[in-house]
Amino acid sequence: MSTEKLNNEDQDFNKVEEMLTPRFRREMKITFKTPKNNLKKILWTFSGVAAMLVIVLTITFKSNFTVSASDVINTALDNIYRAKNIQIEFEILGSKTNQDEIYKPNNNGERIRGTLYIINDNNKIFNRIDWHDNENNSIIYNGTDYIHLKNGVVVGKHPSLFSKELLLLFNLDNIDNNILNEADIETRDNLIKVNLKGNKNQIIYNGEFLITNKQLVKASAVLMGTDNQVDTLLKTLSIETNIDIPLNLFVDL
Amino acid sequence: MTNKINILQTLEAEKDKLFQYANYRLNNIKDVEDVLQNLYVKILTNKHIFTNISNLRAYFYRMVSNDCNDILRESIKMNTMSIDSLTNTDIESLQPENFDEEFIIINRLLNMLPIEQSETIRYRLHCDLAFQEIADIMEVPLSTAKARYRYGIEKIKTNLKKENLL
Repeated sequence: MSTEKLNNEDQDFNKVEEMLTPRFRREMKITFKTPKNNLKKILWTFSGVAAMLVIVLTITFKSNFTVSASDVINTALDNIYRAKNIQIEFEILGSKTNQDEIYKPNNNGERIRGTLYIINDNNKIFNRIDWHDNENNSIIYNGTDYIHLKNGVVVGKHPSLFSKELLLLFNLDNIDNNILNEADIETRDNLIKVNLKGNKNQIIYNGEFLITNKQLVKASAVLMGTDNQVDTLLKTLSIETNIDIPLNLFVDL
Repeated sequence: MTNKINILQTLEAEKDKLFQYANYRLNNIKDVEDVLQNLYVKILTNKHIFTNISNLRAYFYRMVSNDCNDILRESIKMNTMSIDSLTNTDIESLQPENFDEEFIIINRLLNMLPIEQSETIRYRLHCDLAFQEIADIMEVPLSTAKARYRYGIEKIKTNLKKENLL
């Protein structure tokens, strides 16, 4: 190749570099804001369904509880927060999404069941959702990675620090008062029923607590339609704590 | 082991470069702010994990890159940015007069390349990183970082010539 041609090639190379080099850079003006009670936002970013589930479970933070109701509810949530293992069977009305959580709540979607596992292994928090669908989708947050499994085979993985955020929501100190409006509380026999209107009164969260053993036994989120039609967006089928959940559920096999 | 102050100092030192990187991936300033703010929040809420990461800078860039990918995947911007052909492009349109025009041209050109080449070019030209820094961040040998850059530029050059745009 002649020297002239080589020079031309070099000039063209430089021209491309110039085209790709920004001339209209924006000025960096961002100042980081220390988050305050914004766990909900983080949760929705990472895992909408799991976040909704926990919000449903923690609907009950309200200062105007009667003393006894407050005690039952606080104890029940604190027991979950401090549990070594949590397993929650749930059902949502949802549709598939290409986001990490695989399914998102959608009142025009289909009913799908899932199991949420949270374990606290020496302060390392692992989260997993098994979706009981045809593909056997499972998602895992092990503190360093997000892992997507189909039929037990890894089909997606990327770094994610999502870890203890779900569990933190069970700690009443971390719940943003603004997400909660007026709660209605009904005490009957051995049961405290709480319902709370959120999202411009369109969604009603329900929780049921057993008084005798101070346990949360049921929770749901119901969408109110304009014609008084209701859709249960999410409901728990069972809530268990401190049961045996093997740690290998959370590793990338 | 890195302590919290070191983590935040590293972020502060990289902030502007990460900002420029995200700007030329996303355009929308709100999205750019969200990506950086999310990184900050993740650091604050997961300090124990960050303290065990040996190459913090690499981790920051990967996190910002992943977040940008997520936003683009969701956004209709993906449709306009995924145009990898230079059809309907003339020499004049390759001379931008503002950020938006520049953003479109840069992304149209970089979308011709495999991700590892376009990322190398972004780090070099948008974040002003040295090749050794890029190699560290991408966890590849220095020679690979340089080769990716050169191959990327050469490929764009060839395509532009093919369309008589160079």
